[in-house]
Amino acid sequence: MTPKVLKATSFGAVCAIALAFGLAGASAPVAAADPIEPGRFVWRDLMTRDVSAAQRFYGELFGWRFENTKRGDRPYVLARAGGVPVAGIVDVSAIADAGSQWLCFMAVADVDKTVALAQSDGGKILVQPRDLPLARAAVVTDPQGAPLGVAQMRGTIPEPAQPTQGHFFWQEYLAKDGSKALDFYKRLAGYQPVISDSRLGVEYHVLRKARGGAGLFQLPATVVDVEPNWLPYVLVDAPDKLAARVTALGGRIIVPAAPERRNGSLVVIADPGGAPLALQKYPY
Amino acid sequence: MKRPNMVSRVVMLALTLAVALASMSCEGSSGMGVGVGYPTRWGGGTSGPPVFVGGPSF
Repeated sequence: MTPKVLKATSFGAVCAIALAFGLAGASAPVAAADPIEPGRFVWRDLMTRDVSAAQRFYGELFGWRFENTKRGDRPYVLARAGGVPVAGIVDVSAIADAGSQWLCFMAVADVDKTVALAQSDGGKILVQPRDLPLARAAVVTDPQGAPLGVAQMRGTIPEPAQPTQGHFFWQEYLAKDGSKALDFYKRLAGYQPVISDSRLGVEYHVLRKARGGAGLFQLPATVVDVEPNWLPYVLVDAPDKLAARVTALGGRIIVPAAPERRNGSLVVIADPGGAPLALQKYPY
Repeated sequence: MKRPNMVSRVVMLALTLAVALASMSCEGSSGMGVGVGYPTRWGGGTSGPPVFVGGPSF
C-alpha cells in the first residue's frame, strides 16, 4: 500500500470515529414535523421502590431481559422482550410520595403546549418539560388526577403491524367522569372516539386516530378504591395460566379472569411493588 | 506486507469503534426514565372494577 492510500485510509478511519462520537454526543433538536402521530402511546416506565424485585417478577412472568443503563447520573433499567426494548424501570425509593405504578407516555405534537393545556384544565405538572435522548417529555396529571407522560418525539419508533406477545399493546383510561375525560383527551390528542361496547350500562370508547391504541370507560360508582388512571396492557396467550404464577412470584391478582369479563381473556394483576397491570389475550 | 496489515487493523478498529459508539447512542435513546413521586391510583390494590366491557380493538 502506498503512503497516499495509507493517508486516505487513515483519514477515513478518523472520519468514522468522529462520526460515531457525533452520533453518541449530539443532542438532536426536536423535529418540527413529528413523524409519530400524536395520541399514540410510545413508552411505559415502571416506577418502583424495589427494582430487583421488579426485574425478577417481570423476567419470570414475561421472559423480559434487563440492561442497566443511565439517565444522566441516575440508574435506569431497560427491559427487552425478544431483544426489543419494551419498558423501563425507574427506582423511586428516594421519593417520599412515590407509589409503584406504570407510567404511560403518549406522543404529543408539542409537549410545552400540552403541559399548558393540562394545567389550564386543572391538571398538575409532576415533571416539567425536559429534553431526553428520545424526546422532549414531561409528566402531568390530567384533570381527574391520572398521571400521564407526554412526549414530543425526536424520531420514529417502529410499531409492529400486529400486537406481539409479551409486549405492551393497549392502554385503558379508567375515568370517574367519562364525558369530561373524553373531552379532555380529544383536545389533547385529537382522538375521534368510537363506542365499541355498551353492555351492562358501561360505554367503552376506543380512542381512535389512524388506528386504535387506547380505550376509555367510566368506573362504576360502586368502585371506591380505584382513582382515574391509565392502565397498561400486555399481550399474553393464556392470561389465566399466567395469573397462576403471579402469586408465586410475589404479585397479586386484582381482577381475576371471568367469563363475563371479555370471555375470561383479561386478568388485572399487581406486581410485587403493587403496580397494576392488565394481562390480555387478543383477539378474544 | 507489514504496512497493509497494520492499515487494515487500524481500519477494522476504527469501524468497530464506530459501530460500538453508534450502538451506544441507540441504547441511550431508548426509554424515558423520569422518576415521578405520585401515589398509586389503585388504593390497596386488592380489588378492581367488576365491569370490564369492550377491550382492545384494532
